[in-house]
Amino acid sequence: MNFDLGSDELALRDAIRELCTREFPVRRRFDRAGWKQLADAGVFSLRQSHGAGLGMTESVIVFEELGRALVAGPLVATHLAAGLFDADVVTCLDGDIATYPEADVLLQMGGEYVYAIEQFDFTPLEPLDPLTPVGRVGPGVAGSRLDVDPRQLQGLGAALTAALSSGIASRTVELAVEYAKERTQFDKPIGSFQAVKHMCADMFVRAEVARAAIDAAGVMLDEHHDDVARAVTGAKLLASEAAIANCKTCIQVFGGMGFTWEVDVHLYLKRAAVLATQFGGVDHQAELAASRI
Amino acid sequence: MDLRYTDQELAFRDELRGWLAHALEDVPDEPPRDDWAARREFDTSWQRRLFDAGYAGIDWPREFGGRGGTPTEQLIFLEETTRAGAPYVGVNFVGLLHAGPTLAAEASDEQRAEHLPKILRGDEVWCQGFSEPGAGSDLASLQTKAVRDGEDYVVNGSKIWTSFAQVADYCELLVRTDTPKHKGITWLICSMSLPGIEVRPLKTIQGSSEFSEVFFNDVRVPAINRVGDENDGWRVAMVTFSFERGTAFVSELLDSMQLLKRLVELCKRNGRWEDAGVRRELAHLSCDFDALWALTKRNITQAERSGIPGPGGSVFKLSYSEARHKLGDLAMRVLDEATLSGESEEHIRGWMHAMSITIAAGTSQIQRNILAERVLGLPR
Ligand SMILES: Cc1cc2nc3c(=O)[nH]c(=O)nc-3n(C[C@H](O)[C@H](O)[C@H](O)COP(=O)(O)OP(=O)(O)OC[C@H]3O[C@@H](n4cnc5c(N)ncnc54)[C@H](O)[C@@H]3O)c2cc1C
Repeated sequence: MNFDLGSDELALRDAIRELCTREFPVRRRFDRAGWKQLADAGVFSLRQSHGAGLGMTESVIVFEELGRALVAGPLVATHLAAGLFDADVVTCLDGDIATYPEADVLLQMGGEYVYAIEQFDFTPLEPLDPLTPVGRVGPGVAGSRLDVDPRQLQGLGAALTAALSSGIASRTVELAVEYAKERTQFDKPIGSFQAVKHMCADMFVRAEVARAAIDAAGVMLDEHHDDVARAVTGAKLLASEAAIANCKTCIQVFGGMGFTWEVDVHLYLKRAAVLATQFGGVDHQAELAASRI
Repeated sequence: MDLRYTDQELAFRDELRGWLAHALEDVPDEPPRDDWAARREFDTSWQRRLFDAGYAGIDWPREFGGRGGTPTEQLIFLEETTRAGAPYVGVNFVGLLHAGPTLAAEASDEQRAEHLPKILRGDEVWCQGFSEPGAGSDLASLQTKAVRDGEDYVVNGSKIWTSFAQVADYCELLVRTDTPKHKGITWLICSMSLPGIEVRPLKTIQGSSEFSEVFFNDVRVPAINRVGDENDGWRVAMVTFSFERGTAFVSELLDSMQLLKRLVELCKRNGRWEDAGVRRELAHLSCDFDALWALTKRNITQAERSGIPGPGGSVFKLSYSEARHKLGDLAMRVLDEATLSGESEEHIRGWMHAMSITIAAGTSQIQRNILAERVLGLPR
């Protein structure tokens, strides 16, 4: 047993972090040139034998980084599709709603099936997250059924989505702490006030617990552990909650600035809210966890 | 990263399971909470049996009587003993989980040879004399005074909240040997049978006397019982804390998982499981505990690399103690009027116990200060 990032994992994490810092500023919208850069970096083909041939352990580490950097685009669905068919941009269809509806293919997952839909129309909707476009798909789409286990695919999707959320939870701790060191009131940095310190400490605790949960789920997926389904569910639940709670606390630490469009924190909050709905929301995960106690 | 147990670790687990299966057959019933002589006897004789079977101090070095195993094997040991319902460390808590590890890290060869094997055999019970009436969270303001006189320190003052003092043979004692707040503290090994020590048990909200006041009146502690240098005791105490916060709560977590399972079973029996609100809260707690188990594995890995548990212990303690509060509150809600009498005693005890773990070993507020200032680097 060895449950902290080893040197290869740290190198992978640093490489992705560096790519994100260089190429993906927080407000960069989804664009196909950027998508190609991510594909070339192996973000989608990570687990494929023609790619790096790595596992979910590494994919989770990569997705935590993409989450931290708030990289836009249907990252999870495109990653899941990499092993199934050839397409550049793949997104998920949830009911009749799709995020990034300009994608090439829609993945529709039910309890017993997965469809790939190539022909579809959509009507753009006003998105919650300005960087996550949303559309209403249809009416009347038809796709081809894929020969995959839908539960397994959903588990992987939940894990990768949780990793993105966990990245947001960790990044917002840093944002809050940096601001708390700079901003002064009463002639002192606000970070010297205990009420602010304790908000930051609680953020750190939530982020670290969620990160342990999702890292463990990644490893357990690779190891085909008996309790893996429960681990994925727990990680999705805790990471969704940690991301939203940390974004909200971060806004509180930023004061009035935190409530402005200009400061990035609301973008993290809105992304966290989007991610929480994907691959099963908090109540759904809690019910799944209840069935696995 | 990997979470797999090696073949050697699996072999260890199977062997331990086999041993536990018959060793637990003739363990007597747990004694009443306030019969401290019987509690000591119960806890130490189980420790002795572990020792005789080669299962004491799994990850302690062989030279101190330990098994010389890995921290992972220690985790497996905790998993298996909890799952099998074996006795808890009980009065051996301080010796096994923080005084012993502090001695292993900081004491002289003679001191280690003197105490560590006895702790492992269940022959020596320890208590922790850190807190004082005037020095709790601000521990470094402690006033119990030790004055050097020839070969001895003469100790005067008092300690409070000392768990297991009624039955302890030794105390890890922090004393003031000089005026500078942090640089005037010394860490002593103090025999509890020395003349001039008086123990007065205090009754807790749980109705039993889990901790005591301890008074020191001209107690002569031989200076050779000092651990570390004179006035360097604060640094040694930090080592003690790193074990106390870092690893000492692991078996409690496993216990909590069992307690949660029993609450779930109870809810399934009494119909409360059908209530989606209750069911989801129970499920959420199970996710919390699973995540804390993963965090434990991370902390153990980090401790294995650096030798001493890091700030992950504070993260663990904060999150774990809050989860225990939620578990306790939920149990009380679910049990409803059954809480008015002594039924479901373990859940009621657990509810009260939660209130002690956001206080003991550094309150939650102090843990937050530590994380904010030492890990996140916020200004003091
Ligand atoms: C069950 C139990 C067993 C114990 N066993 C032992 C033992 O064996 N040996 C031993 O030495 N001690 C033991 N303790 C003592 C424990 O370590 C202390 O109770 C603890 O450190 C708090 O100190 P205090 O009780 O004096 O509270 P105080 O320090 O007076 O704190 C009271 C309140 O003020 C808050 N507070 C204090 N300072 C700050 C600050 N700087 N910032 C924010 N909030 C602050 C605290 O968080 C708390 O809420 C035990 C305690 C319990 C409950």
